[in-house]
Amino acid sequence: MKKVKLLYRLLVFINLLTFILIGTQSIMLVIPDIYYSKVYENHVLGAFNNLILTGLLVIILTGSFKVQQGIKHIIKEGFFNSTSELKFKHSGLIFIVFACCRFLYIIIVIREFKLSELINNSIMAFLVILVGIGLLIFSDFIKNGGVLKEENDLTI
Amino acid sequence: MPILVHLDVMLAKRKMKSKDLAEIIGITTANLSILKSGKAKAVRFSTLEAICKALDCQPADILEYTED
Repeated sequence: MKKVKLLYRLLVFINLLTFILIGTQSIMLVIPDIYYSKVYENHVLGAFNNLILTGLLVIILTGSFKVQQGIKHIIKEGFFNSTSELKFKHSGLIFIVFACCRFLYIIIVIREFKLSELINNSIMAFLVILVGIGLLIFSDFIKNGGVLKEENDLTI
Repeated sequence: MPILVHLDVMLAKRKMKSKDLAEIIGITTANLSILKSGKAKAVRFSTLEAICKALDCQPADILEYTED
């Protein structure tokens, strides 16, 4: 359980940093872009580029926050509990949605990327899909473990 | 559940309290209550053996199969 608690603290820290990043990005980039209707000739998405990137960050923060909540419930109620199962399932789906949005973004702004950037971004999005699928599998493990635990608890 | 548990009947016949039986067979009263109410998913042979020994009866006196 020590490692799980360590992971929880690490996630809280990362989520806090991401939250600050989103706030800063919104204040310094998104709001001025939209408010002053800035023109970016070298960006396909123009003034909405930063807004979309911030939106993607919000999606991944939501997924990460769900993982954090799932781990919190594991610490409180033990490994096999239905709340954690649901949280991990949702976070897995959110990560997959994020990766799909990221792929879509890459396709839209493909001309702005250098080849190495394109490969790196695609690999990152692919890895996030893998993490999402991993979380879905993990939630299934928790579900099956919960059934086994219940049977074990009700064996007299 | 098509398996009925007649533990309360046997306890009444032997004039024994649930608490005493739980103490003799070495399980908690909460678990004995689960067993009596039919909520248990399974019964260990060792538990069944201890119950039969304590109540001086056969497994068939405690368990009964009925079709749903």
